[in-house]
Amino acid sequence: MKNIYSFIAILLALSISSCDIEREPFQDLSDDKVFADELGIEAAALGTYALLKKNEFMRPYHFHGEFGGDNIALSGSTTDHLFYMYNYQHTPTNGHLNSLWSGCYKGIVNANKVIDKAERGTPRLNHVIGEMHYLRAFFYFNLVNIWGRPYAQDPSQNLGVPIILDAEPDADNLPPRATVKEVYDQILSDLTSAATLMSEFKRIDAEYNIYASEQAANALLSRVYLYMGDNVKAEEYATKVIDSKNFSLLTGSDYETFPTMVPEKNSEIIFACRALKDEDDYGWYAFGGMYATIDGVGWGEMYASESYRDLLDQNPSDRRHKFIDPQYEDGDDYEITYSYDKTSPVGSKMFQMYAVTNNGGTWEYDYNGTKTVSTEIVNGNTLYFITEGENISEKTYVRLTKKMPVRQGYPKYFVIKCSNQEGQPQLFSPVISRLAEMYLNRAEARAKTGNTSGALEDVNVIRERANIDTYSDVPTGKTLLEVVLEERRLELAYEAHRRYDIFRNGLTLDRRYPGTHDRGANPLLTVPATSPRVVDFIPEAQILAQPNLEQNP
Amino acid sequence: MKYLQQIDFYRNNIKNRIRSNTAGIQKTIGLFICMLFFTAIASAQSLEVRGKVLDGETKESLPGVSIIVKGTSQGASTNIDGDYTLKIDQVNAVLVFSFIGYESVEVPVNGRSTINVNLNTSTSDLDEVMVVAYGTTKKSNLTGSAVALDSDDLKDVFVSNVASMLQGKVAGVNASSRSGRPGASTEITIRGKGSLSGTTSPLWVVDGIIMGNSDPGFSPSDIESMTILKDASATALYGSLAANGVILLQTKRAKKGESKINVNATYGFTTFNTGNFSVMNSQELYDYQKTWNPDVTEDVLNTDTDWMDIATQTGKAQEYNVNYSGGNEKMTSYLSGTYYNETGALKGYEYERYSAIANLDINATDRLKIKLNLSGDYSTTDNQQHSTYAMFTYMPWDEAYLPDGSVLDPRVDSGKEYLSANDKVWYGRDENNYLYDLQYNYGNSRSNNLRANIGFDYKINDWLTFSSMNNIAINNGHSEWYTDPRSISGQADKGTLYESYSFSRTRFTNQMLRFNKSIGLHVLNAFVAWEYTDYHSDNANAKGKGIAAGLTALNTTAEAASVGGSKWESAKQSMLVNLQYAYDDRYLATASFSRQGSSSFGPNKQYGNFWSASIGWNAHSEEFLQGVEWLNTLKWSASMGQVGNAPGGFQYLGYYAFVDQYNGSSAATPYQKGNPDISWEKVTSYNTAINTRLFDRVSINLDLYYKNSDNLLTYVPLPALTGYNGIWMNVGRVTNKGYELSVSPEIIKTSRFKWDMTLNLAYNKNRVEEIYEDKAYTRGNTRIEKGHDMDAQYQRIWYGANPANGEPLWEKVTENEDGTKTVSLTSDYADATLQFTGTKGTPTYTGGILNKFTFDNFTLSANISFVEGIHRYNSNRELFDSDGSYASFNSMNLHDGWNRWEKPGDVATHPKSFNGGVNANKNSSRYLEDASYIRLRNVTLAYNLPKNVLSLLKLSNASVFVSGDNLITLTDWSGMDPEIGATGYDNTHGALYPMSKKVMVGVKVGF
Repeated sequence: MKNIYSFIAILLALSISSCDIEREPFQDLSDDKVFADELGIEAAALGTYALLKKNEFMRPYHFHGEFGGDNIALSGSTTDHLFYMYNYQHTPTNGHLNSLWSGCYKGIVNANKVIDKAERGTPRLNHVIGEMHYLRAFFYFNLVNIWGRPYAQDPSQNLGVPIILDAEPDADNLPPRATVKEVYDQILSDLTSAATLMSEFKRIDAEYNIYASEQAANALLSRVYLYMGDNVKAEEYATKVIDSKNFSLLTGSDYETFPTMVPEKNSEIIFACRALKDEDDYGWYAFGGMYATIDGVGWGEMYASESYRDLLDQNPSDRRHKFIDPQYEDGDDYEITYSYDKTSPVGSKMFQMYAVTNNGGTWEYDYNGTKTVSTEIVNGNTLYFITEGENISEKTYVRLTKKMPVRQGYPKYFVIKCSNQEGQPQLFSPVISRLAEMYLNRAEARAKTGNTSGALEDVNVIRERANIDTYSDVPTGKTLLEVVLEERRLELAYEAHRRYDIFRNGLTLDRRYPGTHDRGANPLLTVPATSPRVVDFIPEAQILAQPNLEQNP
Repeated sequence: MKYLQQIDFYRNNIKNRIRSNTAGIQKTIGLFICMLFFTAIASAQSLEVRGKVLDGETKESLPGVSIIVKGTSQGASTNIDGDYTLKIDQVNAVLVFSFIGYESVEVPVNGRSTINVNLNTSTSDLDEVMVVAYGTTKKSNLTGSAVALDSDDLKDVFVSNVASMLQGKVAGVNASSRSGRPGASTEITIRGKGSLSGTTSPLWVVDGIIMGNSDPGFSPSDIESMTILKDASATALYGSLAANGVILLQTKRAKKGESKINVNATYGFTTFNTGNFSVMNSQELYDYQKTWNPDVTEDVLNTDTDWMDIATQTGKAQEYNVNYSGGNEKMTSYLSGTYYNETGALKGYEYERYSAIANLDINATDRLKIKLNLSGDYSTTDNQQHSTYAMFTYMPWDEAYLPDGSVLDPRVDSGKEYLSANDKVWYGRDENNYLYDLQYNYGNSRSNNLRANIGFDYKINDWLTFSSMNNIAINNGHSEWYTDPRSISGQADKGTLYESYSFSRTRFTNQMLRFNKSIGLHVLNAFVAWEYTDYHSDNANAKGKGIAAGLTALNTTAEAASVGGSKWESAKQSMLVNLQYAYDDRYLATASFSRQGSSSFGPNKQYGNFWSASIGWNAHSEEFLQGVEWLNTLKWSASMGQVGNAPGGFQYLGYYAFVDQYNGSSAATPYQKGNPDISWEKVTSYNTAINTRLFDRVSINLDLYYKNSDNLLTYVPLPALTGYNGIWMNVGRVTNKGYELSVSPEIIKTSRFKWDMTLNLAYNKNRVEEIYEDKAYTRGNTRIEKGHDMDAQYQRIWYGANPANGEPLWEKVTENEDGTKTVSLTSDYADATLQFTGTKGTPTYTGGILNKFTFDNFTLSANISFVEGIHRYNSNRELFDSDGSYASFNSMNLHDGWNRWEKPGDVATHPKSFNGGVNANKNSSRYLEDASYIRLRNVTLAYNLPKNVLSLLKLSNASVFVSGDNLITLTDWSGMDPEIGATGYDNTHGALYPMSKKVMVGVKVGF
């Protein structure tokens, strides 16, 4: 039993020598270690891309640019805060906008860190730094478009967003909002540096368009100048990209399946944020999930608006019809659909459908007895109209289609332009810039500088590819700018451009078509570019954390 | 004379060494040494004493009674027949006979060799021995604030976990369930919350082993007793883990000489309990929607589906426990096995648990006692649970099933055809019926815990013992989720299988040297100890897609979809010192100190010091109170101490997380802004208590406390411009002060009928005292601001409907130039002002009323618990009570006192309903509700078989009982359950699974 004493002695000695209690996290590295070598710098740089890709940024970014436009119509009310982005019933507590604000600044500060820590010198590191300048500019560009009034409206007076270029921002001493102009100046400076820094090096050739590049910077510069109204520069940079011959428009059926391609295989993409199969599949919560239910994945609540479909239907051969997927029912039932004015609120509309049967070449429907659908030919297209029906009193054009299921009275026109990459229902690599936009940027710049033939030439490139008639002249009843913007709307729909395209051109958002934006006590069916609601509220949480942020009215 | 010379020698020696001229100290030391010698010299003669110990009332023999020679650690205990034998060293020793539940008796030996003793059941509980931090103490010697509960106090309610037995039982302890789902966990707070971001749950210590901040998962059947340590004096030794109080759990151990088998069986039924909440039926919804929804037609009235009825059932709960306790001089053992099974009142969920425990005590030699505790459990869940969300949001106008009994889903052909053939539409949102996928998809999980503790006490000499405790606890978990290719959610991936494996391991070791010495009336207990604990966990998960229907092994999936996993480690160690002194059981003092280090902090702030000191006075033992007949007990105690709270992370470290990728390459994103200076939360607490017992009928305990939590660690939200969401900082100071009153009158005390009652009441007031740079900040619906409760709610203040037009109204506060504020009303949500609502998310008063009626062999107990002064945000109402915002969701029926605006002049709580809503359902104080409640937590009627029947059946005891849980709840809360679903700091109610009503019957038999 004497051994017990030595045993106790050992235990006591053990206690006195005491154990090591230092531990480290397993999935994280301290900032110092990350920036200690080029590998770490590369990982941190890719981190900025990861921040761009994350749903925290990408989803509300898409919601804001697209759901605030007129290409879409929601088919019900939803608890999701996207509802208030869509119907302009803005609240300062919108979670998406807080996510968007912080998503942008996280990306910006991470870019700042890499720019600060990486040493310029080798073409490779220069390129990495250039990428950070590009991404930073992209984030600022979104910030200023979401929370700052359009550049056309007194940019040196109107407030934009705070500019932060520090790697380690001092939480107690953060800048207030800069003016819209100051933010644009910062964007121009970043993009110009980016283009220069990235001019001498390419990441892997085959993956050129899924990272920022010299041409991606030029492409974004073209858009930024266009937004600023500097049409000469907008044209210049668009031309640079087009002339670089790095990209070519997809044609034929390739174009029709463009969302299903990975960006690397898509010659038209200048820069897209690459989503990997499985890894980056957000499923129901991908923004494509709002547009379509595919193989049971997705909410399928936000449909192509009637006004967009009207525009598209002007040319039945338009290849862009492929991006809209009407959910026709099986079988051979047909129906006619029209929208009528609801009395209140003024301008709001609702759909009415009648089943039709083909009686020896004539379509008939039942409204207080059997009635027929009349036809007329306009510009080679057959148009259908009726004169009798619920809530109408005069000649009303109708759409004749196979019978469609409805969601709360709204026929399901799924949009599949943001889905189906590599056959995965809601996988998609969001496109930041593509060649078609360059032609449209240039067309708009040319239109605004009076170069009619140049503008039409560019528009025709797009129309030809879409398999529709080209213009030889500006059609009567339309201005050249209207022609360009109409084409831009058709081509860039569901790519988060539309809202900005309306307001930066001083136009009025016209929502007088069916959709649940007419719900609620005070719906906004038209939003002029001067409306306070053209810009969103700064998220309340951010003002609480940073009181020197001035709220938008 | 020899020793007097010795004393002189020592005195001179000391004098020379410390050169002290303080006569008082010298005298004391002299006296001390003097007594040492007395003890030494007196131990000359020896004698064997034997005898029998009987129950004073029943005259039955008492096994397991402890007999100790007063002032020494010599002792013995009685065998099964109540007999004992004890060798003593001195003929005039005093023997102390003590047994839990009985009054201790001191008997001078006076040279006798046979001493028979009758013990009387304890009327005062002060002589009971209770477990405290790192040891035991007599209740009368306690100086800190601690409350002990034995298994009878706890096991009235029928629950699967130990934590939920606590509600209403102890003043100052608030236990609330997170969900009514079988096996759901319980959240406990002791004396209010003292941390902004760290855990506010108490520490669990089982049989001396530190288990962490969550219920360690023992079966309630195996619990012998529980002690709740509330103040710093009681908890200081747990240092950084102790800021939220400590729950000590003792598992059952056997007594020498007994041999018993107990069988317990309980079976019962649970029902879904929606409280004050109900959703509309077909007619109600039609009547409501037709006022604002132009699309609604009378056709809807043809269908009235009760989705709640479809989703709920009478659940079943059952528990069976068999245990054995027995032993001899060499070894005692307690062995127990329990089976628990509960199916939810919500269909499709089953929780099952097998647990076993073996506690062995081996007297290897006179000096060496070895303890071995082994316990383990295995639990499983089968989850094909119906959706709480769906059962309340789905429209009564939609049919759930086709006429042939199969599920009607508008997404599949059969459903489409049925709807179109009958000219019907699906009214609900998302055009789906959750019942369809529920046919195919399910999840399950299993978890097993193994705990092994080996320790020993080695008695070096009469007053010095070395104790060692060494524990390892291992948890293995697995969960899987199967999505069938036939289900709609499995369509895209052709079925998926997700599996996750997790492992965790906690090691714990404590080496302690314990000093225990009585000299005359002085008793000194002390120990020094070293303790180390570390934790490791890891998990891995994988998802495969493309699976043949019904196969559930990952290797049957066609393609890998994703992998994931994580790892985590932490470690702590501490040095502990404790001193406990008592003079004549009248004057008591305790002091403790611990120095503790934690891996949660940076190298420069890794260690902290924690301490406590307390004193106590048993006034009733004073001579001048001996004559006061009506005063049985009067005790006063006071304590102060400092403990800590260390969050379990790497909050000091600035780092990038490598959890993302871009295009398949590892991508690092800034994850945490470093703060190397962050340090422990320091909680200094002061406590004073009075314990009395009067007229041998009423016990009254009153505690007053003040808890000052400084250096509070919190995740301060940072503006996004910093690139981070927030930063961990020591931001401020919060105080909790309050009182706890416990009154236990024995109202009726006759030989046949007894009525005992205990009333617990606790009041707590919380206040943020200081905050870093006076920067208030908002988190969710609460705001941390100086001078306010830390759970003070901060929202737009709702003002009801505008009588003129039915528009919603909120308060708008504008500050005038002279600093005064003007309150006006606005219908513009964005324009309304965020402000303190004057309410808070933690209760002011909590408590319980426990009643026990005994009539002959019948016992009726009723346990009522209450919570008062708490408001919670009922977020469900954003959906169910939204004035027309969501035409495709069902709505709730109006609660008492609510009304909708219909025409000008109406003074209404609810604005005019409008298709699409009026933004009135946005987060504001409109949905902030008083969540106070009084709940009949349990009522039990038990019948104990009389002795003559027992002996006929050859049983030692037998009882049957019937009990009901949660039968009555009184509350204004408009949701289902005011207790359930409070999540996070803003007390938002999201979950919808209320506590079930349970009715149980049970049998307990002892052989």
